[in-house]
This record gives sequence, structure tokens and C-alpha cells, in this order.
Amino acid sequence: MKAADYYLDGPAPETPEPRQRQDRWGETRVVGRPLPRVDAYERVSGSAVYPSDVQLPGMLHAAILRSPHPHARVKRVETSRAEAMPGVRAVITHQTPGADIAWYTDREGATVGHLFEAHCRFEGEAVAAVAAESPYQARDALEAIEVEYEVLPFTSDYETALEPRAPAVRDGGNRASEPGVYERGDLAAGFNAAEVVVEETFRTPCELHTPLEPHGCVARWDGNRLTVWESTQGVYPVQSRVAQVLGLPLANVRVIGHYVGGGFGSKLRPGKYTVIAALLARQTGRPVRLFLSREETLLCAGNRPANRMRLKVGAKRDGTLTAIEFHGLGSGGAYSGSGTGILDWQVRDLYRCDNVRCTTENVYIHAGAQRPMRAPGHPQCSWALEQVMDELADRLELDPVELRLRNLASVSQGRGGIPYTSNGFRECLEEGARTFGWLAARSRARSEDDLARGVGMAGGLWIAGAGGPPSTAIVKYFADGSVNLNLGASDIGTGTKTVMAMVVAEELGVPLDRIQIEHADTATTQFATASGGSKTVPTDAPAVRAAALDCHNQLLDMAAEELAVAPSELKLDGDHVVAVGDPEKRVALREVSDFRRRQVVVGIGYRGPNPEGKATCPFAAQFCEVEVNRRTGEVRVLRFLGAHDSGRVMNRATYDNQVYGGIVMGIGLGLTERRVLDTGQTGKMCNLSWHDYKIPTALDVPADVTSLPIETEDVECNTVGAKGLGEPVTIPTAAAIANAVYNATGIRVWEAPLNATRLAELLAEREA
Amino acid sequence: MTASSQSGADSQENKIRFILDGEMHTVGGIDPNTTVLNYVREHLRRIGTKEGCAEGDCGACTVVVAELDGDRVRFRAINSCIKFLPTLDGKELLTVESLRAADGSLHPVQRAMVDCHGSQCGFCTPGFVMSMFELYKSEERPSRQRLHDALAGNLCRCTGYRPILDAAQEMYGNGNGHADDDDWLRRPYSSQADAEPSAEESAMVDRLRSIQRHDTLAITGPDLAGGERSYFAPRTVANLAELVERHPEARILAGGTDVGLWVTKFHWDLDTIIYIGEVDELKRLEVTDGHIEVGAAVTLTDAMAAIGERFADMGEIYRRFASPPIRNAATLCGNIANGSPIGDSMPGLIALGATLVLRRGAATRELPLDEFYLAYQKTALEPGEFVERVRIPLDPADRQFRTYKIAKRFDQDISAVCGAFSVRLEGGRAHDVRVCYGGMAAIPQRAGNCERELEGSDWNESTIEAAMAALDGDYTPIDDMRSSAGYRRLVTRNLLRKFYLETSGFAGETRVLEHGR
Repeated sequence: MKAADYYLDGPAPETPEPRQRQDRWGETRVVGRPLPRVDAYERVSGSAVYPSDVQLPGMLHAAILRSPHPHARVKRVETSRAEAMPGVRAVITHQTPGADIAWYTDREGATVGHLFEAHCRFEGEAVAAVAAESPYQARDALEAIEVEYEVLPFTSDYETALEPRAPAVRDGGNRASEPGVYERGDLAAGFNAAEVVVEETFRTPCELHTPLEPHGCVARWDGNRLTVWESTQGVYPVQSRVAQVLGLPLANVRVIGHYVGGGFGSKLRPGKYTVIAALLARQTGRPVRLFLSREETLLCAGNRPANRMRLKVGAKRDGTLTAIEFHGLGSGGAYSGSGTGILDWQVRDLYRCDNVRCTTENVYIHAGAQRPMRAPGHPQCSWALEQVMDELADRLELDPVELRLRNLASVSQGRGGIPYTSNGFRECLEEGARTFGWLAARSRARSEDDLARGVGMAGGLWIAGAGGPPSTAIVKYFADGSVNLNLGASDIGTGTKTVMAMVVAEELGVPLDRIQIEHADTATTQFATASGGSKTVPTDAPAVRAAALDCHNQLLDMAAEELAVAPSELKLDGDHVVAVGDPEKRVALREVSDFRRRQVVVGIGYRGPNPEGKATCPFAAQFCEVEVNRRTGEVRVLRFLGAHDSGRVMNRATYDNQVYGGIVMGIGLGLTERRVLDTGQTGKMCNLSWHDYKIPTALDVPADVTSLPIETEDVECNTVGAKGLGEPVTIPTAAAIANAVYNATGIRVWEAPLNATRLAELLAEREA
Repeated sequence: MTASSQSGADSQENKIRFILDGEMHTVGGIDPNTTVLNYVREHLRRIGTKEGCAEGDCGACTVVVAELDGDRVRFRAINSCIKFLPTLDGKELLTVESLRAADGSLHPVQRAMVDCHGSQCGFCTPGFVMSMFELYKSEERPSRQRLHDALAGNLCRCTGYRPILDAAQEMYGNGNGHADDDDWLRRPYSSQADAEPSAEESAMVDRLRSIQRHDTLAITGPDLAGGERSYFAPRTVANLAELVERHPEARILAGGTDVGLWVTKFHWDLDTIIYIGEVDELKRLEVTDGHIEVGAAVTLTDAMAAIGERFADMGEIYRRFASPPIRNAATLCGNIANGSPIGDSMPGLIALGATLVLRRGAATRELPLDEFYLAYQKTALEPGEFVERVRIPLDPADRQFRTYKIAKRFDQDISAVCGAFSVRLEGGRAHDVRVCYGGMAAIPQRAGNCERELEGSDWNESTIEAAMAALDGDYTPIDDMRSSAGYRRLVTRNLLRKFYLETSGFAGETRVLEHGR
């Protein structure tokens, strides 16, 4: 299992070794500073043109007709009335020539779902699409399409999907794959050696990404060349899928994604909407805009699967773990077999334990397909593992931090015992506890008043975050000393452009406002994997650094000729090249004759391979304080601290932003977010809006959130020393809240979200 | 459709007139169901204002409307996605594009967002910038807690809000030392400097005055299928009453925070709209010795300020009620007339003994609010009748009043339960007891059994225990995705206990901590 599985189809392509010698950075001049974002101006001024803002002459507006039933067969589709409506320019269904496109395939490559599907397996399955002169005309036309459905019985509860009477989602039944099994050591012996055993069943909710910008694109044909402006985390995955589906050469599909209004994993790949827009645009000869409504994004644009986890952990009196047994169940919906992807990873890897057995089961249900969501599997696993650790500490009368410190892993056990390139987990726990004031806060906890206070913590690691090849970056150094940086990656809001420009500035001494960035356009940049999985900085920053160094070396070579000094004796000093031992020997770059003739120096950089036989992971520990109203179950998070080892801090401000944002997303998982399916009567989703699907607002976040970077020096992971950050920041959050609520009330809530209803019921049960 | 920008009055009365960046903008022949957001993006091609949900949940579409307030200008941040374009008539519209100076330099609010990294993916940013701009021009250095409140109507999925809250704090310091910040719109509100209107504000007042109307605005425009739609905005309650009688099929529009969704989500055709937001009598908010009287066009923001000042708990309910941009548009009477079983105003107002003044033609009648709701989404309103105002009696000095909201999220959430309690304690006994809950029945409903148990009884633990038990006979709550029936029953009882604790000298804390306390 590799993290690459989450953003690449097939094996990852490699890039050549970088040509440049790359010493590790010592003291940095630019990297690490909290510099403003290079693209902040356009984002705050409103001048940034997002894909959903693209307006082209003659552009039509499209909408998709979706099955209102979780399971139904389309017996008849009648489009004539819709076609005759004012402003309607095209209506397409699975019967339209050229639109009968296979979309979902199983592991063997057999087609299991089409672009427009006559056998609808989830509420929201695409049945037809319309292009019209205005958005409302397109929506009205959808209502005029007559569809006769044969409504079929459905399965929407993943926990009962394997029962014999559960209606089958697929011909082969609802088991998506044989259970996954991981085993090391001797589990029975481990539990025999245990002096304390904790066993419990946990549930986490189906969580939705809900980026602010809906999913969609604008598509335009020029002859047989297609241009797509898509709200995406990666223009290259979109390009390859669209080219493949439409039978076009890559060179004929240009995908542009200069801005993207959030993705969180749901925009790693193209959606059906991309191909539907292209088909409608081809049929009408007009550009077509197709963006999903908010409701559609909640139904069909992915989710974090709900999980049921059974976890049993044995330990000795001194806290040493002796055995862990984990069972996870989940569903990726109707079209994804992955309901438990990397769900058990932290069980395998986070704490030292010789005897481990993990099983995972995946089932199909009649619901929209999952897509990776910020740290797939990990916050769920953390909800179980970190609560069990907390419970264990309680039973052993050990401090929860101390229990974790007694079980630190020195190697990556899940990878067969190979060492980590760096591991700052101990520092995350120790420094985090110290800065938070853990011991003092714990001693203040009270649990007998109607209003109770408590503190909790949780640890975590993210399986990936190492990044790796491929990545190719180009730096062009212009005659006036300004620079163009060219890379294929998307900036999904994490600050990719800013950090990459800072790397160039570090190596070439060029101020940020003299660096132009060309990115996320398949016509003008080179292949990049999608931005996600906490891998963008560790993947692309080394390539950018190599490209900048390539420029640097070429400039020195040219100056060497001019000054008749060996290149190794020279260094770049602003817009001059100077001899190291003789400052008198210097030449302005613009005076170097070779450079004057060429006007540009082009540096190419590649991402080198990761070190053999080593693992690279970011580590985390988070601490929080909550207040609980024992009469109503209301929980308020008062403060949070995130201590994170993600290697080098590339920009302290973008770093802190990730920490704040990840914690708040974790608060959503812990307290309010949950997709509600009407499993009993209709199988439909009940909370189809932001009003009912509750992400945190400014009033739900703690007034006090602290980011504490644990900046371990990692000289092996890559040439910039940075590990991933975007995912680990949301992994331990929900579990830390649950542990704090326990500390305050003595009640453990095994099921997330930890809402007032559940908590008040448990409190009342205990009092009764 | 025709649109034009020009200065000076427009002679054609059947066009929408509003000010955009200092110039008059007239629009005629447009579908009256067009939202401000769609007009701004598709017709004005100002794409900075975003659509995130088209139902007022996320605030990505936030714009600021400037309107006359006597001889001053008042700014309101609103959700443009559910505001109909004709309701901009007589106002000035500011979008994110309005803030940047002609030379491209950023507004102090925008600069603070840059400096504090308040923008990540950036899609929510223009909406936040506009909410912050309203705050910047309306309040003097708000507390951190107030900032959390003021920005709660804008969702962000990236930043965790902290960098944005930091920016909202920092922006007040950005108005100094920049030569381009002389402009009034670029200076933060200051009670001192703004005690008198500046030349720029006066100019804005003049511009707004030049487009005010004295007669009903009546416009027509095409629907999607070649038909015609009408929109009326009367100025007097007499004209309104007459229009309502003449067009019984018309949809009465106030804040539009519910009606807007009929267009953007249900794709209904609203062929005739009568907008009450310009009716002078209905815009009145009056406080007399005995009552607070809130006209049907008074926004929740304004109503909550007046009511919350006298009943602190009502202020707290309104703080958690929807979001600031929604409260800036929505009306208290709209919330009441809507008849939702879980509207958060009603339990409190019923416990306070509020009455409604209903009007048809020239005839009015007054009805206690608890007699207004007949059944699920069915009210005592008769055809052609509308809510003119709500009257809230001011408390006798010895009245104890509390109202509490229980929801899954602090704000912008439909209550699982909302409870309200009013009692006069005399000689240790309870009198004039009114207990009302929302979320427990198909309508906001008083708890008769519980009230009888309390009325005239000693205000002590055993009375409360008995009254808590009596509540079980008052309601048959349901399980739904917001809560379980069991939880509702439990919390209903516990809220009564909380009321008792808070009115009987209990020394402990009864409320979950606020931010920054």
C-alpha cells in the first residue's frame, strides 16, 4: 500500500535524477519566513478568475438530470418536451450517439457503470444532461425530461449490507472484495501476556468535503482540440482521463486550473461533469459551462466513508503494548470498493507493538462513491486508537502522554521495520504537552458541576507525506534578473506557489515580486501529480530547487568564462557574480556577454528518488480543552494546540494556516459533521445543504489555537527537508476532543460526531 | 433587458435604479426574479462575487448595500444569491470590485487579509472581505468575540477562521499612514470622526436621495418562457393593502431569505411579487412605555438590537439565529409569518405575551401570538391579510424571563429545542407563568400542564420537579436528524431546571463559556 495509490492511476512515472549537487540548506534567507502569499492580491481583490468564473462568448449553461432514487432502473427517457423548451440547445442521454461511455470499471477492468446509467445505483446517478442559453433554462428543461423509473429496493446501511436480505448493489453481491488481512507476531501470545485489555467498537460518520467552489468546468472545442477550465487539484489527471475517454491525443486536450476553490481530495480526478460538458460543447458547437449545484456536490462528489471499527488492545502494567487487534468495516458507495482504504495504518505503525492483526472489509451500498478526503482513513482510525490509548492510560493510572511515550516506535513497523528518515513524535508529545500546560490543565479538570471542564490529547502519523518523483520544474532566468517559474502543480490554497517561489528566491536571490509563476496548465507546463496527500511541497519543492540550481550553475559557468575564474570559485551575489576569494573580481549578470546574447537561462529540475529502505512520515500530537454542559450535552472547544513534525517549515504563515484549518476540519468531524441517509424509508440523503450538513463556522472554533512546529532536521527525506503537513493536522483532532470530554465527564462517546444528543443521553443514563 | 449607467435622474419610472460605484445604474426589462448575484456576475461581469450554495448558507456571495438612514448612510452585508435585483432600487451596491482604488491599491480590509494570510483557496475571500468591510464602516474596533459573531455568516473550509479573525482585528490599524486612505470608504468607522457626516458621506446621501421614490415602483419583465412577470414595491401601507387585495395571487416579499430559495432551489416562478421593504409605516421600530412595536419590514438585525437590549436572552437567541447577512435581510415578522415549528423567535415572544397586528385593506385586528399558529405551517392569516407588526409588552419589573436554544452547532442551526420561560415571583410563588417550546410539536406551543403545575406554587425544587414531570404530558416530540425524541424530552425538562436555577439564587455557572472569556 502506497500513498501514491490515492492520486495516480497505475505505477508512478519516474523522473531522471537531478543533475545538480544539492547540499542541505543551513541557515536560510527566505525559506521559513512568514512571507505573504504571492497570489494574495488577486484573491483578496476579487480579480482571480476561478474556473467557475470563466465566461466565454456564446457560452451555454449545462445541468445534469440525476436519479432521485438510490436504486432504480430507467425504463424510458423522453426528452422531446425538454428539447422544445425555449433556450434549450442540446439534451443528451445514454442513447445519444457518442455518449454511451464506460465510466466505472472494476479491478479487472470490466465496465460497471456508464456516463449516463440506465441502472441507477445511487441518488444522484447521472441520467441525462441539458445545455441551454441560461442556467435556469437548463434547470427547467431537466424538469421537463420524462423518466420512467422502476424503483428497486436499496441498501444504504453499510453495517447491514452483508446480511442475506440486503438488496444487492452489484451482481456479485455487496462484498466489494475479500477482507484485507495484515498480521505480524503472535496475537494470541500477545493478549496472553497482557495484564490489561481494552476492547470497544467505534463508529465515525460519513463526512463530506464541501469545498467552497462547487465541482465543474467550462469546455470549449476549437476543431478537434478541447480546452477545459476545471476546478481541480490536478490538471494532468483530468487531461489523461478526458483524452482517454474521448479518444484524443494528450496534445489535443488542454486543461487549465489556475485557481481552485478548495478540494480536500474531492477534486483529485475529473468528474463525469468534465466529459458531459465536452460532449455538450461538441454537439452544440458552443462553449459549455457545467458546474454542480451545492446539493449535487453533496450527493456525487465524493465523501469520507463512514467506518465501524472494533479495536482490542492489550498492555502490561507498565503500559507496554503487547497486542492489537483491529477490524474495520466501511463502504465506498456503489462504485468504489474502497471503504477502508489505509484505515488501519496507524494501528500498524504508530505505536510499538509486536503482535498485530488488522482485518478490513469493504461493502457496496446504494450511495455516491467515496473520494479520498484529507488523510483518508486516518482520522477515523485515530478516533478509535487514540480513545483506546486514553482508556488504557486511565486504567493503568498513567498520564496519557506518558503512556504514548512508553510505546514510541523506533522504526516503521508497518513497512517491515525500516527506519524513518526522521521521527519527531516524542518531541511533538513532550513539547506539545509543555507548551499547552498539560499537567496543570489536567489537574484543573472537574467533572461534578453541571458545567464540566476537561483536557484531552491524541497522537498521530500520516502514512504518506514523503512525496516523491515524478516532478519536473523549469526556472527561466531573464536578462533583467527576474524569473519565470514553471511547474504543473496546482495551488489548492495551501500556498504552493508561494513556497515554490521562496525556494527560487532562496537559491537565486531574486525577490518574490520578481518571480512570475506559470502553473496548472497542461499546455504550458509539464506533468505533475495532483496536489493532495500532503505531498505537494516534498514532491515539487526539490524539483524547483534543482531547477533553480541548474540556472544558478549555468549563470556561474557563463560568468566564469567572462572572469576567467573557475565556476567553483564563484558565487551569485544579487545580480552580480563574484569570485569567492576576491570580491574585486565581479561582473554584473547583464554584462555577461553569453547571457546578453541569449537573454534567458533555462534551468530544469527533477525530483530525485526517495532514499532506499527508509520511510518518511509526518508526526503529530494535539491537545485541547473543552467545556461540557452536563445537562444539555453541549460541548464547547475552548483551546487547541497542534504540535507537528513535518520537517522543515517552508513558510511559517502558510504552515500555521494548515494547522488552524486542519484542526477546525477535525472539530467538524468530532462534533457536527455527518451525512444522514434515510436508511429506513427512502435511502435518500436528508441533510442536503450546508444548513443541515454542518461544518464549523467562526462561532464554533476556539478562540485560542496554537501552532507549534516541531522542526526536526530531516537530511534524508528530500533536498529541502520538508515533509507533508496538510493531512496530519486533521488526524488526531476529533479523538483529542473525545478524550477531553471523557476527562470532563467520565463519559466515553464511541460514536462520532460527539453530538449533544448522544452525550446528554449517556450522561442521563449514567445518572439514572 | 436594458441597462445603463448615467448620472442624474432617470425619467423612466419602470426601471430599477441603484447606485454602483458612485454612478446611477438603471435596469429595465429584466425578470424580477433575477437575483443580485446573477445580475452582478452575468450582466455586470463582476466575477469576484461567488456562488457557493445559492441559498444563503455560505456567504461567498456577500455584497454590501448602502442605504439612507435619515441623513446618514448605513451599510449592510447581505447574501446576494437570494436577494432579488429590484429590491436594490434606491440603494447603493458595493461589490468586492468596489473596494480596490482606481490605481489598483487594496482597501485596508483587503490589505489585512493579505498580511494575515486570511485567504487560502480564496473562494470565500470576497464574501469575507465584504462582511469585514461592513464591520469596518459600522463599528469601532470590535472585541474579538464580536468578530467571531460578525463573521459567522461566511463559511471557510481552509483557514480555520483564525487568520481571518486576525485580519478583522488588524484591518482597523491599516487605515493609518497610507496616503490613499483619505477616502471615507477607506477609513474605519470612528464615533468621533463620524459624529458628523464627512463630505463623501454627504455626497453619497445626496446620490441616494436623488433616486428615492414617492410612489409605488411597478416593473414588469420577461420570464424564461416568453411570458411576463410583475413586481411592485409600494411606499405606503394603504398602497400595500390595496395591492394585496388586487393581486391575491401575489407573493409578499420581505427579506427574501426564504422566498429567494423558492427561485434558486425549487425553480418556482414568482409571477407577481409585492415587496414590503419600502413601506414607510412597516419600517418603523417604536419603543413606547408599554411595548416594543416592530413593523413587518424591520430586519432581524434592527429588531434584535431593540429587543435584546431589554431582554438579554432574546439578544442571545438572535446572536445564534441564522447569520449576520441573513439577519441583515430577514425580518422578524417574516420569521413569525413563516410559521415554522422551529423558528427561534416564537417561544420567546409567546412567553413574553407578544401580539400581532394583522391587516386587510383598511381593517386591522390584534391577535396573541400563541393563537396565530393553528397547525403545521398553517396560521390564522386570512386571504388578503398580512402581518403589519408585532407588539411585545415590556416587562413588569418583577418578571423573570429566559429563553434558551439547543442546537448541534452554535449558530446557523435549526434548534433541536428552543425553550422560553416567563414568570412573576411574588412572595416566593410563581404567577403569570408562560412556558413555551419550539421543536417539540408541529407549532411553537405553550406547555399547559407545566404552566398549571407552576402557577401559584412555591418557587422551589419540588415544584420544579413536578413541573418537569408535567412537561411529558405537554409534548410528543419526534425523532429526526436534528435530534431524538428522548433527547428533546430530556432537554426540555433540563431547560426548565436551568430557568429555576437562574432565578433562585444558584451560585454556580449555568452557561457554557463564551469566546475569549
